[in-house]
Amino acid sequence: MNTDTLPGTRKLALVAAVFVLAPIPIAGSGYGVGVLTRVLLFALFALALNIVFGHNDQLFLFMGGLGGIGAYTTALVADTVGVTAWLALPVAALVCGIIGLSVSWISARRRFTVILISILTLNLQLVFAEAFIGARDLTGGSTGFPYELFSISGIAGAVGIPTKVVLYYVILAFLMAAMVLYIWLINSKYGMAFEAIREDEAAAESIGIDVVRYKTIAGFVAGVIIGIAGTLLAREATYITPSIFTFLAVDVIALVVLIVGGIRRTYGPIVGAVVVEAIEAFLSNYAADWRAAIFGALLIVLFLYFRSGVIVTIRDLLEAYDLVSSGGSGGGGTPAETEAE
Amino acid sequence: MLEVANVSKKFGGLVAVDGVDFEIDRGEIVGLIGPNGAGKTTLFNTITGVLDPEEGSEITFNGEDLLTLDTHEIARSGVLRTFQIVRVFGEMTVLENAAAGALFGTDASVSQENAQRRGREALAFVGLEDKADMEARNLPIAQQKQLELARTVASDPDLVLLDEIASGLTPGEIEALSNTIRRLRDDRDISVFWIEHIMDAIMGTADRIIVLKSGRKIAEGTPEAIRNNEAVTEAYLGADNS
Ligand SMILES: Nc1ncnc2c1ncn2[C@@H]1O[C@H](COP(=O)(O)OP(=O)(O)OP(=O)(O)O)[C@@H](O)[C@H]1O
Ligand SMILES: [Mg+2]
Repeated sequence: MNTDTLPGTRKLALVAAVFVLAPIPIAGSGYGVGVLTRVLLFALFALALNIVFGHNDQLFLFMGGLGGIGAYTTALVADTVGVTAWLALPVAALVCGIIGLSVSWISARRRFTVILISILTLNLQLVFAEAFIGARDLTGGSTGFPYELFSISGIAGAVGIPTKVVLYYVILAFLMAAMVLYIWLINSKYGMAFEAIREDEAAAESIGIDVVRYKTIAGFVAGVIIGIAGTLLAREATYITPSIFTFLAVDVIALVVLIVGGIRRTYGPIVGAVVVEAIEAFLSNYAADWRAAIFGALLIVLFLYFRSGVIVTIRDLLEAYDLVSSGGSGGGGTPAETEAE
Repeated sequence: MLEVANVSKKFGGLVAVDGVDFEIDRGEIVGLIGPNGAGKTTLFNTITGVLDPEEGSEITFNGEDLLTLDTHEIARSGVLRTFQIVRVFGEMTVLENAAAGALFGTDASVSQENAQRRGREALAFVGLEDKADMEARNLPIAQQKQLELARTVASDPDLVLLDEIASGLTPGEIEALSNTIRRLRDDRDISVFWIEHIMDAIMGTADRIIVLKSGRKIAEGTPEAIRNNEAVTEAYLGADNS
């Protein structure tokens, strides 16, 4: 562990470069850029889930609802205060952070198990979903309203590239910032505390770790990221409706992305998002009618055979067939260490 | 240093600890013995804030009321413990386990480099330095218990509570452990409160021994006095104990 420089800076820079270049071959295709943007957005949701669930055993199943709170709050603050969405977004992120913090604080104080937290947050998800539809004056009800904040079209006009591509880069910047935050967090004292708490809460307390405090911090950080991701999700859709923020539309996908990519792996959310969005895109092009059914079946297969994430499974396979030399601790089991080499 | 007065703990109708009083001073190694189910571990749990004792119980450490503190705060005030059923962080390395003790066991902010250095030192203290990079779960259970000890030592405690740390060791290893425990006191100025069933280990090391039976303190004194105490002999003969 090195505290001076961020571990794995080069790897992150490489990943960033790939995503910076990715839109170029398909720049003409609004659809292609849309798929790439969804990859970034769900990597962002899954990253938040990785912190709060992967590292902290707090299964947040209200990412859709919380993301919706972020999106509506950004729009409402921008509208009522009359400021740019760039100033409204931090306020919305803070609101979501405080909601995440409160949920984690209550759960940790009452020593909720992962099941209880998931039930609590799923209930909140339903409450938020109802509220989005019910608070018609603020949200436009189920018909919603156009969502074209952040004056991105202005930038796009000035630079001469499509709005969708500019938005893609904006979201990429947020994702990379979140990745830097994640890598720093997991390699810091916080990461050590998270790991200790996840492995054995009683032992963690016995050596002086304030379990409630660290879980609450994780809830706050995840809440902030989810709030931002939700806002960007609505911006990508250019129109906000409650249907964007349902359990099925956000939470299920983010959870699948995280599991497929590999829980507690630094690049798990990104790898998982690429795999899941590729499958989604393929199915909606070639098997639209059967999309949901095939997607469901695929998920079962992925859960059964790729439980520790595709990265680990593929590496193990390659090693088994001697295609690559085994690198250190490449064995099966759980990917406990975050790889940040 | 540690003052325990009138401490009781009930589980439903069962009185696991029953009005126990004692003190532990700086520089002392105090043994805690008693038949299975006597309430020894429960007493540790009340001292470390894992369990709340009954009304009227008093536990203070260096004048501070431990009953108002949470478990992690008690650890930070200098009272660290090991567990009867071992609780290392299995997926971390041996060194990371010890470093975690240094990182979180004090109120002072400790850098990660510093924590690693102190972790290494603590591993050397218990003789685990050559296992530093192993995953902790791959250690034999008896060594995991030594690692728990190293984890407490790394945080530079004032008092450690050891719960059957010698179980599973060979006679030679018990001798080494007894030495380590004496060095805790002599070199590190750490007091020790030690639960043990292996009489040879504890009788040869402790300055003073407290005997618990059915939650009550039935005797307290030097190992010599305890050996010759009739109530104690009876407790052990009466309770079918190995
Ligand atoms: N959490 C609990 N809930 C209910 N009963 C408990 C609990 N913990 C301990 N007991 C009971 O309290 C009594 C004292 O248990 P304790 O574990 O303190 O004994 P001990 O002296 O440590 O025994 P051993 O030498 O076997 O470790 C026993 O009868 C035990 O069954
Ligand atoms: Mg016990």
